[in-house]
Amino acid sequence: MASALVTCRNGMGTSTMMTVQVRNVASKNGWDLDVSHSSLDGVGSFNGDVVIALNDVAADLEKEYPNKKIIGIKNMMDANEIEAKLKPIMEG
Amino acid sequence: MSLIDPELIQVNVEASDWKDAIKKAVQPFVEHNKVTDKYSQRIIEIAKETGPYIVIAPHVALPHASSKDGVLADAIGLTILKTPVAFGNKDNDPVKYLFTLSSVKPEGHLDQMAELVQVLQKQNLYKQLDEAQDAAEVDAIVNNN
Repeated sequence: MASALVTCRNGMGTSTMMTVQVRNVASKNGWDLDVSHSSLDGVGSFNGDVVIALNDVAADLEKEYPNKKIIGIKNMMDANEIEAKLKPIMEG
Repeated sequence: MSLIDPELIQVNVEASDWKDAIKKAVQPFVEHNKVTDKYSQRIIEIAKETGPYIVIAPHVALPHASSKDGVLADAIGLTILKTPVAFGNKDNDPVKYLFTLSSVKPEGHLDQMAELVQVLQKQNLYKQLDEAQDAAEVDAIVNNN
């Protein structure tokens, strides 16, 4: 099973909502993906496949964690965007 | 119970800038004892420190801070601005719809967020909201009354 960490600045509203979206996209595509969420503090210890965040946060994370796979999302409500960006990881 | 509290819905709100928009979006939460008056200040402080983290989709912001920042009760509200204001988020500015959240649980409420996602993905939601004349009409749209 692949695993994803959804993260945001404080780990409460934004990442919780994006977790819902990522799970919806995974289930629609039949992907076996474990999705958890945390504040930025949780990124360092995450050893799964992909970290997902909004674009501005993702840009910071890429600098801080050059060895992790980071995906930045522009519009959290756009399931197509999330699907397109996760597809290469899940099916690639 | 409604997902979005009808007491926390406001339309045609005028805001001079993003900080003013956040203060006005949080005001009904203070009046109805969902948060203390330091809550909006914390949202503004966090946004200044870390950037416009609450803008999640085109024209949509989700103002919220941590449960430790003066949250008294769980609630979701909606403030629609008369004139959209820039939040400094190049992807999704300007913001017109503010879905304000307060959560007593530090990690938020997954089931509530799932319901809110469904509302935010309703077909023609924003067109309907723009045509709504008052808070009661907005309540009917977002809460499926």
